[in-house]
Amino acid sequence: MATNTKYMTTTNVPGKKLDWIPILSYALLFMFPLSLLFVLISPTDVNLAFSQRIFYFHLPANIMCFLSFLVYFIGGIAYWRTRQRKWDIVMVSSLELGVFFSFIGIVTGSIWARYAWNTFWTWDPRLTTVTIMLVVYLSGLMLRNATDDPSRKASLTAAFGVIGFIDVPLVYFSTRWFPRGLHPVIFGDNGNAIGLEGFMIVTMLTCMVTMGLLFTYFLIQRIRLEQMRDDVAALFYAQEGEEY
Amino acid sequence: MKSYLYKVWAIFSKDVRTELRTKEILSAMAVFSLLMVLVFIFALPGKLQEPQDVVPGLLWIAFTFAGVLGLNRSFIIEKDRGSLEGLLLAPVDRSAIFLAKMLGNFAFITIVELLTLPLFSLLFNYSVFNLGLLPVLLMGTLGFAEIGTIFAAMAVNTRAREVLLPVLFFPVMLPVIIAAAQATSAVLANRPFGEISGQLQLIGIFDLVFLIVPLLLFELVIEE
Amino acid sequence: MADNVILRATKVTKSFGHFAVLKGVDLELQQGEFITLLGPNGAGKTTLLRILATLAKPTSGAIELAGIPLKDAKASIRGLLGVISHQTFLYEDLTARENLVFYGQLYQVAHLTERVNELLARVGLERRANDRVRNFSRGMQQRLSIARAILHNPPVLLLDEPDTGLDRQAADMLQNVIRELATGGEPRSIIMTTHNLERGLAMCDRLVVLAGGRMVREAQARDLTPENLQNWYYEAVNSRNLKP
Repeated sequence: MATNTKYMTTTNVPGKKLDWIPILSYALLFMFPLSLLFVLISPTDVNLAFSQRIFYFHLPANIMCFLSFLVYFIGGIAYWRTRQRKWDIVMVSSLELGVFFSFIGIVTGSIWARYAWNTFWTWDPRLTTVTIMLVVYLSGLMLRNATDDPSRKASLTAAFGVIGFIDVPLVYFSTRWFPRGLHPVIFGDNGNAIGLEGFMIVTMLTCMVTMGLLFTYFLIQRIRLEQMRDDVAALFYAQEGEEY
Repeated sequence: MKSYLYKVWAIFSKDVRTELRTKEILSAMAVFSLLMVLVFIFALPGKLQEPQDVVPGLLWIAFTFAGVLGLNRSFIIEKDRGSLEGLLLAPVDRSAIFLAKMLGNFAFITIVELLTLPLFSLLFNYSVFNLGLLPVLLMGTLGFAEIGTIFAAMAVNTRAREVLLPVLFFPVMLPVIIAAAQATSAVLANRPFGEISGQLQLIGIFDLVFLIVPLLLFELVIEE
Repeated sequence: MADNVILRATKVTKSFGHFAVLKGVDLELQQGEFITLLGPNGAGKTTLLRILATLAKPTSGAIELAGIPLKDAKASIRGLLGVISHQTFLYEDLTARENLVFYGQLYQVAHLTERVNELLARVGLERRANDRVRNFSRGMQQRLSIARAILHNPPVLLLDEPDTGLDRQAADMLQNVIRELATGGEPRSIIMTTHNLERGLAMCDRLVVLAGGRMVREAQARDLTPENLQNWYYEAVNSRNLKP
C-alpha cells in the first residue's frame, strides 16, 4: 500500500492531544456519588415531599437534550459548509445522545407528574415540546438508517438537523395554545413556582455538573466509536484491495 | 432574474400539464380525502350532533394526510426516468427547481382542499364556508408545500421513500397543524378575526422561515 | 495545444472519510476529441462523469470548462454540456415534442420551434412527435434523449454508458448517431464511458482506463487493434492489484 500512515487509526494517537476520557471518568466517579448523596440529604419539599427529588435528574437531562440538539444543529451547518466526514460523526453522535437524554427527561417528567399532579401525562408546553423534539429526532434517525450511500446519509442528516432545530421554537410557541399546563417554573417567582432555596440550589447545580460531565463523556466516546468504525472499515478496504 | 422566473414557470407549467393529463396526484388525493371524511363519519357517529367540536381538527387531519400522498408523488415522478437529473443538468439554479416543485405542490393541495370543503359541509351538515377561512387555508397549505417539497426531495433518495415522508413530515408540521386547527375552529365559530392573529402570525413566520431555509438547503439535499 | 483544451480536470478527488472513489484524476479533453473511459465496476468512471457534469462536487481538485473554473461558475455554464445516459431523462406523460420544448425552455434555446422540428427529423421521430413518450420503444426513447441532449448545441457531450439496456440493433443505431455527432457539423468534444470494449474503441480517438480511482493507462485509438485491445485493457486493470 502506498501510504500506511493514511490508514493509521485516528483514535489513540499517542502524545498528540490530551486524552479527556480518564479525566472525565474520574470526575464522574467522584461527582456521581456526590450528587446522589446531595439529592438524598437535601431538604424535603413542603408540598411535594420526597418525589420532588426526581427533579434533580429531570431538569439537567432536559438541558442536556437541548444541548445535544444544539450540537447536532451546529454539526449540520458545519457539514453543509464543508462536507467533511468529521462533522457527520458529530451529527450522528449528538443526534443519538439527544434522543437518549430527551427520553430520560420525558420518563422522569412523567414520574414527577404522577406524584405532583396525579397524572402521568399533561400537555404542558415544555413537556409537549420535548416530546415533539424526541419524535422529530427519532424520525431523523430513521432517515439516516434508510440511506445507504454514506455521503448522502450525511447530507440528509445535516439538512434534517437544521430544519428540525429551527422547528423547535415554533413548536414551543404553538403548544402555548394548548389548555394551560401545570409545569412548575424553577428559579422564578411565578405563582406556581417551586422555590429552590439554600442547599437545594447547591444540589441542583451539582447534578447539573454531573449530567454535563456525563454528556461530554458520552459525546466523546460516541465520536471515538464512530472513528474506530471508520478505521476498521478502512483497514478492511485496504486489505481487500482497491477493487473491493 | 427574469430568466430565473421564466424557468420556474417552465417547470411549474410542465408539472401542471403532466398532472392535467394523468390526474394521478389530484385523483389520488381527492379520493383519499373523500374516504377520510367517510371514515370520520362512521368512526364518530355521536359527533354529528356537535360538528363544531370536531370538524376543524378533522379538516386538518384530512388535509395533512391527503397532502402527504401528493407530495410523495411529486418527486417519485421525477425519479422514475431520471428526469430529476435532467433538471439538475439544465442551466437552472437548484433553488428554482425547489421553487417550481413547491408551487406545483401548493397548487395541487389547495385544489384538493377546496374540493374537500364542500364534502365536509355536506356530510357533517355544518357549513364551513367562511371567507375568514381562506387565509388560514392558504397560509397553512403553503407551509405544507414548503416542508413537504424538501422532505419529498430528501425521501426520494432513500429506501422506503413512501413510508419515510409522513414520518419526517408530521412532527415538523405540528406547529402549523396546531395553529391552523385552532384558527379554523375560531373562524367557524364566528369569533372575531383578531382572536386568531397570533396563530396566523405563527404560520406566517413558519412559512417565511421554511421558504428561505429549504431554498438554501436544496442543493445539499439533491447533490452528491 | 493548451488553448484547445475545452474540459480540464486537475487532481480531482472524491472521497468521504477514508473511502476514496477518485484519488486524483487528471484529464484533458481537446476540442473535437472523443475519449472513451474504460474501467471495471467501482473504478470511479460514473463518479468522474457526474463530477464533470456538475451533478456531484469533487472533494478536491479543479475542473475547468471552456476556461472557466466550475467551482465559481454560474448555473448557466451547464448550457455548455450535453449528457446522454442509460436513463432517458424524459417525461413519459409528455409527448416527444413537449419534452423537447420543455428542455428547450430551460436551456433558453433560440428559435425553439424550428430547432425542435429539425431535431425530431434528425432522429427520425417527426411522425411520432405528438405521441406520448410512454408508448415509445426503448430505442426510440434513446433517440429522443439524444435529441434532448444536443438541443442546445453543446460543445461538450458526456455519454454515461449510453448502450446499457439496449439490444444490439438499438445499440448499433445509437453508435451511428453518436459517430455522426462526433464527425458531422462543428467539432464536438465527447467523453464516453462504456463496458463494451470494441464499441468504445471503434468510436474514439483516445482510450483511458480508470481503475481504483486512478487513471492507469491511456492510448491513442490508432495504436490499438480490436485484437490486442482485450490484453491491453486487462493488463491495465490487473496492474492495480499488484501491490509493491
